[in-house]
Amino acid sequence: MRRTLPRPHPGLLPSLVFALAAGASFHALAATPQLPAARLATLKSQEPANIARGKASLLQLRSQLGLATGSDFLAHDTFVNAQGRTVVHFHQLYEGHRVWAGEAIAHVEADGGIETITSGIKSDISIQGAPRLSADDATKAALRNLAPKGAMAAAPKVELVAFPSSLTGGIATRFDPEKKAEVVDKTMSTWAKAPSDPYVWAYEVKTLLSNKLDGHQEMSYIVDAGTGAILRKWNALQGDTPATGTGQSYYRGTVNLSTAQAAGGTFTLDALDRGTLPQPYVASQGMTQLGLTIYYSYMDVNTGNLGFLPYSGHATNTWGDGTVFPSPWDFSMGMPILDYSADGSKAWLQGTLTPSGETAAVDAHFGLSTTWDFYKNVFGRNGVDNLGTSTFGIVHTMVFSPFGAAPLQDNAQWSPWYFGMQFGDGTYPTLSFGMKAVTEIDITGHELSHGVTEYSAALVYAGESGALNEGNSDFFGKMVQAYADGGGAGTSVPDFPAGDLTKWEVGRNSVPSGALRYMYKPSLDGISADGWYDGMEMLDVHFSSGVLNRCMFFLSEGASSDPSSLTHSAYLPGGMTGLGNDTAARIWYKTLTEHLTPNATFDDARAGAIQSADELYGVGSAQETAVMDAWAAVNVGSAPGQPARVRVTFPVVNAAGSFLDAHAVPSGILDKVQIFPTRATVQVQCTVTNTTNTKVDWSLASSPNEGDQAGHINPDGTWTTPSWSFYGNLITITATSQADPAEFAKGRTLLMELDADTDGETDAIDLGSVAMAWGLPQGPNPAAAIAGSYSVNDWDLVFFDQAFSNANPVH
Amino acid sequence: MRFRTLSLLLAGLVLPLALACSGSSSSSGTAPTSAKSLSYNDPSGTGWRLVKDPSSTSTRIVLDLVGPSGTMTRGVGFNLQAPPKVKFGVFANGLPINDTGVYKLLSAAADPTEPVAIIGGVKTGNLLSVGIYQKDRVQPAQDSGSPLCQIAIVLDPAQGISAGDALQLQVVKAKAIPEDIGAVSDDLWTLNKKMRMADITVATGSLSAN
Repeated sequence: MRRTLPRPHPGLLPSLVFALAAGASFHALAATPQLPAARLATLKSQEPANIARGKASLLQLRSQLGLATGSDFLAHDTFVNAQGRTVVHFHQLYEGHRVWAGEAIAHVEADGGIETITSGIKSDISIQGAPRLSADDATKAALRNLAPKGAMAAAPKVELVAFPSSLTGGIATRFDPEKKAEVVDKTMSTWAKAPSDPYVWAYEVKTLLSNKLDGHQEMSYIVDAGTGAILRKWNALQGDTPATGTGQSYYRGTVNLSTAQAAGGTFTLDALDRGTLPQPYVASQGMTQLGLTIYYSYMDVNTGNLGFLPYSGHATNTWGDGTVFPSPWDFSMGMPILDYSADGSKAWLQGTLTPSGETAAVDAHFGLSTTWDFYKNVFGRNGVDNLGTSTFGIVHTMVFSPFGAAPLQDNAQWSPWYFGMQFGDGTYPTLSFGMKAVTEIDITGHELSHGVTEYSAALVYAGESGALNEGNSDFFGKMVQAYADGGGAGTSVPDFPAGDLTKWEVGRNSVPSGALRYMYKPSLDGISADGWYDGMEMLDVHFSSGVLNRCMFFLSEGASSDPSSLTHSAYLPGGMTGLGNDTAARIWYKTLTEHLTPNATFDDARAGAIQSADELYGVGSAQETAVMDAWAAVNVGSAPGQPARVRVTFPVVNAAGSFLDAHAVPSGILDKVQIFPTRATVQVQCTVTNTTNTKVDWSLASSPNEGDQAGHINPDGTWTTPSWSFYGNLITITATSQADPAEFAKGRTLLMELDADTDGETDAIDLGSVAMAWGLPQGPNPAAAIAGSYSVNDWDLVFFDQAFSNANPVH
Repeated sequence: MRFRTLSLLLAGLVLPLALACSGSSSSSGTAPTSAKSLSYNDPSGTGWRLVKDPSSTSTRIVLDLVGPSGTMTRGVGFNLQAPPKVKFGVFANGLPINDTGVYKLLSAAADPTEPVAIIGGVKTGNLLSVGIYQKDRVQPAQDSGSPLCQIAIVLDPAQGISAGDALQLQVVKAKAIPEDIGAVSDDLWTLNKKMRMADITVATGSLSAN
């Protein structure tokens, strides 16, 4: 539900914040001033005591929060901000074990006041008995599901957690770039019923595969510790999606690099001044890496295993020649073209160690160093995890594919397992729609910012929190770019040249045909959202990120009042003045690191940003107003003085606690999907509020590859459904308000073929055929698998029920 | 108000005059009156039939589906054709079919949150289509000689049923799941032979409006 956040007043705090004043009032009307360095150092030394106080405050609220006696909190990220606030992130514990997605934040002020953010806490946890299965049992269950073809790259990491049953997975969707539509992802879908108890013991199992049979995968699982059922699964790797484009020029010319010189006088691409704690993955291999290092992929010719080696032994300390080349690939043989070490034991992508090959390493090193400096100098953040842990980047990356070692190509990704980045070489111009070397600085800043998110808000990578995760990375990628454009030094973020919208195009110089995303007008890519609408949770997070992307663009640059402008918003027709990059970045960084929890929504982000603006610049400040304007301009909340907007929504047809609500991934994604049978006349439902004109204009979208079209919805909402059903497709229904055409909703429908007994007639007797086939691994009647399941199960019952009931109501 | 009353009186006068002039054979020449109650007489026989449930009232006739005693089934579904003015009622579950508890609808795991195979709706032409089925082979088949499910017919004044209207009900299609539908371990050929719903004939009584 979209609602306007009331301006906070002292004593009238949002319900998610508990204030325990032990000194001056938290909500001073003026901005909170920055403290002198000496005072901050004192507060930093008091971190352990403040962590304990923050924890004690949370424990005092145990009964209000509905926490059992055995509950506790474990601090995992702490920092002192410039205003002297100690911010502590806590994992929620139940009987000594982490509560999955259970988080709290404590703000311990310099004057002793304490506030806690508890919206991420899970209440009323009660789990009877001990886990029936062992960690080893759970690992086996996860590995059965993973079904690796090759050897595991490392032993799975297993942790016993208290798991909210409401987060049990079910149907997962993915974006099909060919169909330009969301389709069901049967590989990532799970079919377990949610446990009947609200919380259960479960094991979180993290796996790592990196071999030529399985490729590179970092699948994670939640395994029910009582039944061994897979309750949830996800891919921990987070990367960008390639797009088609046209040619652009190359990156940043001559740059200064921090390197390391060896005793023999040669040089290594290792910035020793960035990162003081050992790189954890390198340490797990029995070696030590400090600082920010650039590696290149290699393959052990004898074993076929992949590894990486540093760019070292360089005689001149002058790297690269400013040119790049696409991933070397032999199309006739279907394999990469390799160079070999002198002894023939190692191989890497052709050209890796040439001056041209070094160029990618230069860009990667520059990008990682600049991103590190950006967070350190502007926000005081010591690296990705704020602890100074060293990280790395791998260029000319090879990964395992079903066909053997292959270049990473048109991608770059942050790997939580490695605590480092991997860069692809791109396939352009070999493929006209490919990318150039994926080392452009905004992409590097984007990926490293995923790591920052992982070690702060830990935004879950699905739904609105996933959109925020992606938008955050896009925005900070751009801020890193702006920082670099301004010289890469200093404590503030400079603005881009006025009116230069190209600076806000993500990957503009890497994608020859255009850009990956357009933050000033996200819909220019044909998919991304320019603002919130009911139904956008079905978008891939790289497209739903448009809401935060555009919001942050408006906050920095402003919005035009000219309807013909690309920076005009129908939701804020009068436009707004931007605050500049530096102010916008500070407000959002504070929001990310001090106010957001893993399941944050757009509403939460808006509330957090307003609070951040209040704390930095004061309640009622121009900055606070700008934040409200920027969010209003993307249809989240209202700007000051704006009346409530017309809202078009599709009704919740699968309410909380229903079978489809409990089993879909992410939770709630099927709440509004209206399921209809084929060859029927049905009534599509939607709701229009805040206006007396409740009429809508309907439209249907179906893939042209499906052959038959979906037909048309009549003005009264009736629809004669086509004769085909294709389970993999969710057909999109758009309802646009006639009262305010800027307001619309997108719903989805699934069409089901209900003639399970194939007698040419659809009736309640068909459900008997489904019931007869229930539970059979592969029965003799494929038509009984209404939902397209491999074995007929409760999904088929529910889909039949909903489709039949929707088409044959009892009046 | 005065004119309205006058026009009503005129209508009342006109009708019997018209009937007298036309020589109509109607008994008394009075206008049809709205029905105030429904009644149902059970069909005879001991086969599949719809019989009136004791919970019925004069305005809500609840009909039980009963089968031959000793016939074991795992579920049943049927389509009941009714005249346009007949209205079907719903039960507490929101469906036009009620579970009487004979069939074991939950799986052997007996998770109360799981979905069950009971469905009902009214298709075009006032055709009630309902079904109730066991889904888990672990659950045994049930003796069909007791009420397996219920449907309801309600008297709705808005439907315009007149006293004396004959309201013919007919089950135009009905099937039952037999006892032996094969085991999970059976091969596909055996399953294909056994997993067939059996046609049944369901007798209906006489429904009338009073």
